[in-house]
Amino acid sequence: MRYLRAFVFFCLLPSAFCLSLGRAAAGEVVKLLPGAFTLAGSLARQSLVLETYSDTGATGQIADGVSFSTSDPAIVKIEGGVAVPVADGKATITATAGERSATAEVTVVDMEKLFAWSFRNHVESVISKSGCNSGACHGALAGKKGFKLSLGAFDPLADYFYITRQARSRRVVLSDPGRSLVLLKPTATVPHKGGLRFRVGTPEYRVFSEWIAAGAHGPKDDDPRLARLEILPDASVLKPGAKQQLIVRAYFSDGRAEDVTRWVRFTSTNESVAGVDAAGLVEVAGHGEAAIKAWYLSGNVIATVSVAYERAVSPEVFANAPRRNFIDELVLAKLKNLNLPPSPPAGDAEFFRRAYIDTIGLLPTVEETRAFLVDEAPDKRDKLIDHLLARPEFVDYWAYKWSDLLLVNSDRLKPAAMWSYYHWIRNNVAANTPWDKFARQLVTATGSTLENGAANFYVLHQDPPALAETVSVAFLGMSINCAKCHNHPLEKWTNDQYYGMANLFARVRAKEAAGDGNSVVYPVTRGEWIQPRTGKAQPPRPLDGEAVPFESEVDRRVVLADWLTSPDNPYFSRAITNRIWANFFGVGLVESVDDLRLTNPPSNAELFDAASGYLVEHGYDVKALMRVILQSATYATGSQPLAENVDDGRFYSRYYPRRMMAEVLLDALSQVSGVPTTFSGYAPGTRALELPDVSVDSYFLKTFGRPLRAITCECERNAQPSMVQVLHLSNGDTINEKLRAKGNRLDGMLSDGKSNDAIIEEAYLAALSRYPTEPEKAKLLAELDDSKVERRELVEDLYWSILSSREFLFNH
Amino acid sequence: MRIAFCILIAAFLSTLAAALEAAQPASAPDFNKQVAPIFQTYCVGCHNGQDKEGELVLEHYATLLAGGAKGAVIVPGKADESRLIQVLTGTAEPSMPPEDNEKPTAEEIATLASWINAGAKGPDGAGPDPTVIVTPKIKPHGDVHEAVSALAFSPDGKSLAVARYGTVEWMALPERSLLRRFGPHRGRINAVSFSKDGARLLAAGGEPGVFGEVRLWNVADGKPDRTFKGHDDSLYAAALSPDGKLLATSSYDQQIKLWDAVSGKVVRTLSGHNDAVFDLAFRPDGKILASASGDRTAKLWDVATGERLETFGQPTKELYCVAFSPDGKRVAAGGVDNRIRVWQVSEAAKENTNPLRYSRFAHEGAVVNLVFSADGKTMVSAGEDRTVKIWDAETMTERLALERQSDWAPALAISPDGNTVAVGRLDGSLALYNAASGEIVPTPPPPKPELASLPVRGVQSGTTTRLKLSGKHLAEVTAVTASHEKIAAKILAVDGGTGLEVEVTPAADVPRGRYELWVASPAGESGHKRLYVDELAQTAEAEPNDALAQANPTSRESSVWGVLGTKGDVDSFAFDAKAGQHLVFDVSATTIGSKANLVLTLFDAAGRALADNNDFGGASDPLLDYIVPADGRYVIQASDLMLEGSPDHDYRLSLGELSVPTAVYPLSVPANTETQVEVTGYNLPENLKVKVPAAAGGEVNVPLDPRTLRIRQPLKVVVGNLPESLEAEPNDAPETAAPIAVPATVGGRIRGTDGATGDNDYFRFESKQGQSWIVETDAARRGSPVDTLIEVLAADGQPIERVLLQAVRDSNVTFRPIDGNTRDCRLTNWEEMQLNQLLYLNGEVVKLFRAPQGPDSGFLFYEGDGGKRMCYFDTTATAHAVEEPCFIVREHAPGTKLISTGLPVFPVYYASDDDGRRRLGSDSRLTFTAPADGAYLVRVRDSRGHGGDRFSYRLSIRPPEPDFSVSTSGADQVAAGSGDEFTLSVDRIDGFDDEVRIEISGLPEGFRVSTPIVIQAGHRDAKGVLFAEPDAKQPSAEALKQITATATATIGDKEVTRPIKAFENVKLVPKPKLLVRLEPAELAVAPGATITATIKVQRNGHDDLVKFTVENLPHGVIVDNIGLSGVMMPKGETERQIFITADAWVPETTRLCFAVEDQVGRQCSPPVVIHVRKDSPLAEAGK
Repeated sequence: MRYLRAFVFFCLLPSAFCLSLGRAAAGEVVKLLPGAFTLAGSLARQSLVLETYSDTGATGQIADGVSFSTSDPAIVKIEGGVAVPVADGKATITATAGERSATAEVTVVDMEKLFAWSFRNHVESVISKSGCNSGACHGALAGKKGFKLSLGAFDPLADYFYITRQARSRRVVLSDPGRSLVLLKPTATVPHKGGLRFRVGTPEYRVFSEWIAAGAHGPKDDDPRLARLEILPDASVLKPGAKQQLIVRAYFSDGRAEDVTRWVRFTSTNESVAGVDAAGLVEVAGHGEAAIKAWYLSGNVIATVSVAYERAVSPEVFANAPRRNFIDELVLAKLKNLNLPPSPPAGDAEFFRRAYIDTIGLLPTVEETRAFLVDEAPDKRDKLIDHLLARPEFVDYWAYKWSDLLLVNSDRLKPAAMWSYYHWIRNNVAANTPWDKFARQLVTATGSTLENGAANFYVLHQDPPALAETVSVAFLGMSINCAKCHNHPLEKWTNDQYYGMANLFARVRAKEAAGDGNSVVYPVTRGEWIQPRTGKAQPPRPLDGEAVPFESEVDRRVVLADWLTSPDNPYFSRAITNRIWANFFGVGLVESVDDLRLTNPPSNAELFDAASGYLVEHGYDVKALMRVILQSATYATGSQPLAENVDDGRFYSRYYPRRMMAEVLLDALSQVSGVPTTFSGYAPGTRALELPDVSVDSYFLKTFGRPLRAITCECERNAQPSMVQVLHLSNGDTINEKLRAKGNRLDGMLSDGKSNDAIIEEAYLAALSRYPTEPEKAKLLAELDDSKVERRELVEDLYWSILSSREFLFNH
Repeated sequence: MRIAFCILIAAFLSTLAAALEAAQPASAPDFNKQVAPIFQTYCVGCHNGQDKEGELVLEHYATLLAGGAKGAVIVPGKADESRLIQVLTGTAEPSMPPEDNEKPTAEEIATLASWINAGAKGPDGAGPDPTVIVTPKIKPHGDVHEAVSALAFSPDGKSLAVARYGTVEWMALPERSLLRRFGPHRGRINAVSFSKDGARLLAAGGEPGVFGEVRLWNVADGKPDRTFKGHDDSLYAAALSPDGKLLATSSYDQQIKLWDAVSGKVVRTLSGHNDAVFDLAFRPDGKILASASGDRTAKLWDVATGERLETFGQPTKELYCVAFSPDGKRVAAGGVDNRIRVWQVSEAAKENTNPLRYSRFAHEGAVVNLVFSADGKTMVSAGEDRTVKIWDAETMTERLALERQSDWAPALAISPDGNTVAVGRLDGSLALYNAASGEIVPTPPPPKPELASLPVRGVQSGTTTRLKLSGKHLAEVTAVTASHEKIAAKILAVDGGTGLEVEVTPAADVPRGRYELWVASPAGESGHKRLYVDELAQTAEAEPNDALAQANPTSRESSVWGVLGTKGDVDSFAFDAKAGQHLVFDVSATTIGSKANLVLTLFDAAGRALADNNDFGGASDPLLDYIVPADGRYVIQASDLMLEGSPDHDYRLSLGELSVPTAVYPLSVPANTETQVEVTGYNLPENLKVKVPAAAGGEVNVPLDPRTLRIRQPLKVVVGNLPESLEAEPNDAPETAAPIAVPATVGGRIRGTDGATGDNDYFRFESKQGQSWIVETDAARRGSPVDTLIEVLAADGQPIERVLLQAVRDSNVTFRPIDGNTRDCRLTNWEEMQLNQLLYLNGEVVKLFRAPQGPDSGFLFYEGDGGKRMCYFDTTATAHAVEEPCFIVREHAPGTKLISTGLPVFPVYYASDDDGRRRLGSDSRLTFTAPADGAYLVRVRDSRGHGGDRFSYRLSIRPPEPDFSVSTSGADQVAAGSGDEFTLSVDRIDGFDDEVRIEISGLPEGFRVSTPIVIQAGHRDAKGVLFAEPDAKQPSAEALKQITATATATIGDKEVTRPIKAFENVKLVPKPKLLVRLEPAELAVAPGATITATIKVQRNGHDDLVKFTVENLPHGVIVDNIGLSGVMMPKGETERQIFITADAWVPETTRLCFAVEDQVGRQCSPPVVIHVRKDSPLAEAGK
């Protein structure tokens, strides 16, 4: 009879308190965007936005009642809020709204120069903007109705071929451009299954028709290439209901800049905060932060929109909040921006347990907890942090994490090789090898897979595309897989860059050596990986790095490693920073941790920069980063939400409770019960976190989301709760068998003749790392005094209640 | 008499001690120390808890004060008024001790008096154990043979427990060697038995008149488990209840006690016998206990209640023994009236329900013991007439009497299988008899001692080390010997039969190395165990030392011996080191026969991993060196790569600034001269060079001084047969290439560099146009860690094209990746490929040998050595990923203008990483043909870019000497009327790739063989069949010698013939269960056509399904349409038609093929001629 099992309640109760003070209005200025620009050629246009700014940045567009004037209408004129060139020269445009006004400097050039639309830059952007080359339309692998376009225009040569040549040039009529099918269909002049895409006479129509009229010239090698995109304003703090027009300018390799807002495809990453329409008009819907992604040609750029919570929070809340290091400054700045007050700091017990679980994957022992709680040294938390970072279990925990990342797995490696790989990871953790050296050793691994465990990376991943993808995910936190078939729609990576990256691995070979699972990995000096689109070798090149000459005999992986681990490579330091951050905060600065796309911005960009910068400054010493995180006041924030921050899940106004990961949870159950879990084939007493391999059979670990280590992806670890988990905790054999086992902690307490008081205290300290509160104790004592039930059973029930509680299962 | 003497001495001594105590002034006598011993000595014999003479018990303070029948004996504070003093001093009656008894001395009485006067204070704490008796040690004269007082077979019958005074000897059967002694016990063991599972041994005994006890021992480790103490006299019987929960004991103190076997507490005492209870027996159901007593009765007791159920009163004298039959229905007892009586026992065993069945006069003397066999059919009894008798237990008729015993045999046991009777006698002797024949079972010759292992196998020279050896049959060991005369060894102690402590002292000048140690007993010598002598201190690990914090402190210059005893075991050793020291950690594991795949990891004091090593130079024992950056404490950790562990996972770890040579340079020396070679390693003298005298050829050991250097394995150099020279650095660029006059061998070394491609060594040689050269390295095969990659380059360093391979068909590796060895690869597009085409696999060139044989199989490539795939143009076999592109390619001469096929063209350059024929491991071999007169370069480097002092190689440049040899396998058992296949394999040397024709002649009468047999160009093997006619006779060895086989081939323009060893051991065996024929006797097929043939069998006992293959078809000719399972003939059938198809490209040829079945030992058909002919009428007919 487990009748006791419902009486202990462990919930994280929100403490209700609230401050209600208004936010002072900051000194506001207005700016005309863009502040200075060039209009090149008679067809150039530039839309204008009058924007208000506070000391922290853009705060909203003044849309109504704005009047424009120009200093020289003979140079530039304004038509419907758009600057239109008249003649070469310079002028100033002034926008006025009420008493506020702002100016923009305009330079007009090339008015006399004949302008020609470029297929690569203009026509393709019209096709993309109109959606013709989307995956659902002609961008589908098989095209539509015999007409095929490259997805997102990643292959202009192929598109040009389809539009102008394929099927006997049925789609363009050079002598009578208006009769071209390629115009008749999108204007729905003839029936078009895809519907009306643009109307006759629109700028889209004009670009397309004038390009045909000019001879329908194809893409040329010396076409100007998109160099970068600029979005204005790139960050703004808006109010609910506000509207904000965005401007996107494209900078080309020939120095030209154009207002391409019209051709940009906009999407919002968080519609519940802000939506965006096709023209780039943002409309605020809720609170928090959203990123607006602008995609033009092969480029992406984002603008962040922050919408502060409309709660009256005193500035003192932020001013008085504890600060220890730069993390806290930047977190508080963000919280202040969003008007999200931080929760009060965590108590010693809460912090103690949290730091153990996050740093070494263990619960503190009863003795450790007691000692920490009575310790009155002011620096005891710092001492604890240093202690944890030096613990041998730190090595177990982080070796396990990196083994997840690097797929240590005896399903895919022979046992000796698997162990060798694991030892390599483990020894590097134990040596606290800087992350750049670690990555370099792995990526450039040569030699026997048994002598150099890192070489197994090249056994797990063999073909160059797989290697390129895996290195990108593992060390750049980016999936480049999409670019295998077409330009990445959400990222800047192109199909060519993908194969350039892949070709860095074309000269890795493995040959067999004596011993089971022993092969020798080594670079050769010849061999290329063919880019299937062109049938030729793609110049080997680390994503956006410099290409290696084909004839170079250097191990291309060394070139990759140089690029990868360069302090100038932002992706590398960010990826590992984000992984470590997510370990301690539960939520990465970028979510998910291996989706570090440009178009998936961090929740706190300054903090992300600072944290990854900190890692670089400290020579990629991951422990240094862990230390600064653990020491931060942010990490020590309480997990109890306030009414004002209960909605926050990204900005670290509080510590987000989360279920312990499967292995940690199982070890915790073993530790609390005093009954180790046995794993077939491993020494008795081996903890789950000491397993090198995920092919060890364990129903518990499987149920609680242990990854398969089949593909490099954080998504392999399933943190989702499930009914099976609940049932297993309640009625499954893991907890119940441990509680029933002979010689367990309960036995020890009972046979030592401990009082109920002591038993309750021990259970709390062991499982929750805190003393029971008086009311809890009183209630439990009453229950334990039940003389009708055997004492052992009562104590088992007590433990069961605690071990199945959220307070135990969660790190908080 | 001797016993009495002891008691006297004891009394004297204790009296003296008491007197001395009493002499201590000014303090009241202590009860425990001074008073109680006096009572113990003079009074307690009668005034004890059992006897209670006069109701007075003087054993304890409380009962002493309580007084006896006449009231208090002590009046505290008043000795004079105390009755105790009065009776002692004779002032009260009766005077005590009784007449004729020794009386206390005056001092003792004074002590008692002063104790009473001081208030008669009670004991201060627990008194001394009253069962402990102190006696003087008196040495017996001559050998003593303590009686065998009880015997017990272990439940598995493989061992025997022999109880004697103070000890139980546990001996292995049949050799009767001592496994262990259980003891010491106090007093004689009167009963011994094993628990049902054999895990515990129960021994009951005690000291007569003092106490009785049962000791339970763990058989496995000889450790005491539990002691049952509570009887006041020695025990005579003890039995565990059948369920093991209760222990019953009986004692001379007349009591029977039932104990909880787990808690050791007395459950109940069964009182009722009026004399010693000599024997006990549980009924097999555990409910009833039988007892036999000196009170002339046997009784039955209800175990659950302690109620006495039955008393058998028929015996006329004392009973000594009682036993239940295994079925529980009878109980037998024997004793001083010379009879054995058998009663029938009812289920409830209630009084008067258990009638006497037999009463047999058994011995001419008291029956001292009787036992039932496990099957209940036999009983054995022993009598004081020195006879032992074997009875039919069911009828109680005598079956046989054993030989007259040398003494009484109170110890009897029957082996669990009932075959052996063990008899132990009062004279200490022991005999085993065959229960059926009564013959004595001879003692096997005493077993030789066996040594299990040496715990620390290393000893330090110049010091004495104590070693605890374990093993078997060590009890009689008389000598321990080491294999070096200067290693002194002596025995310190023998610990039963399984342990031995010895002392080993190698003299200071005993060279470091491996020696042997063994022990000897009169029975012989043990096996020799390895003993390592080292000048370093030799220590052993001490568990627990898994965690860094638990590391065993270890001296820096020492060897520590450890065992990874269990799964997951890790051993840590801590030591102090100083900055700048070059530490070397040298492990011996596999080299000393360990199973451990050892890994070493070095940590600093903060637990940071500093360095690790798994394998060193291809050997699996690690060697780690580390230059200490800072003074401090370090920890070296040893573990198994896979965290395995067992007692066999042992190792030696030597650490310190050890001088370890690791390599020699160069790897070869010229013949017939003395050459100086360089030795590299750790902590070696600067520029260590050694002179090596070389003879004409072979290998020479490099002479190194083992006293100053730690040599892991002997360093060897090969004696070269070409002019030898050495590279001279710098030679890293074409301009600095070292000129060599070819043919020659040059020694070189790949230095360690920071560069990614490592060191390059260039050599220059001159060649005429069209001249061919074999360029090869000998390095990894000589233990060098280098993995050479060689190239022949133009004089300016540019690569030279060897061949252009133009892709004509594209494909991909599919289904699964392939490693660098397999010949079997799934390819897309394979239907469009042909045999003998070259396949370009990402730098590697292979040749198609056999097409997929069905939908679920791959293409087979041509075979090199060792079953690995052969690579062409000296390319190297590597692993290939799924999806990896590959191409069927066509060869073109370098410089050919090619018309594009739309597929790539791959130039192959003169380069070799690993020998393409797969003969040289990771060493390289290249065949180079000079395209023009002039100078060429050879570049040597490490394919992985590794390098270092040890990375030596020999590079040879020499003209090819194409040659071949042919070997045979198979054809050793030919069945009459059937054939046996054999394989001819050609070993191709230096590029010889043409066909080889083998002729066989001189066969004995009645035998036929396929001849000629042709190994086709490029192939390794061909198959033939040796066929015996049904009436063939086993040929004589002489006749077999007449068979000659020769292989002939054309090398260059010369015909070369080589003899083949074959058919020397042909054995004729009887007609098999299947006879196979392939018909017709001559087949012809046109290229591209299919013909039919028939396989017929004569079934001769095998009626089941038969599977066939047809062997030795011309390459490109296959048995077609065979489906997934091959050619099968269903059960009972005797004929099957097959289809034979020749590929269109197959040239005209004639060959001998045969059919083979796969069910009864690969019986073959006689050889059948198959022709491939373009327009053969036979081919037409076959269609």
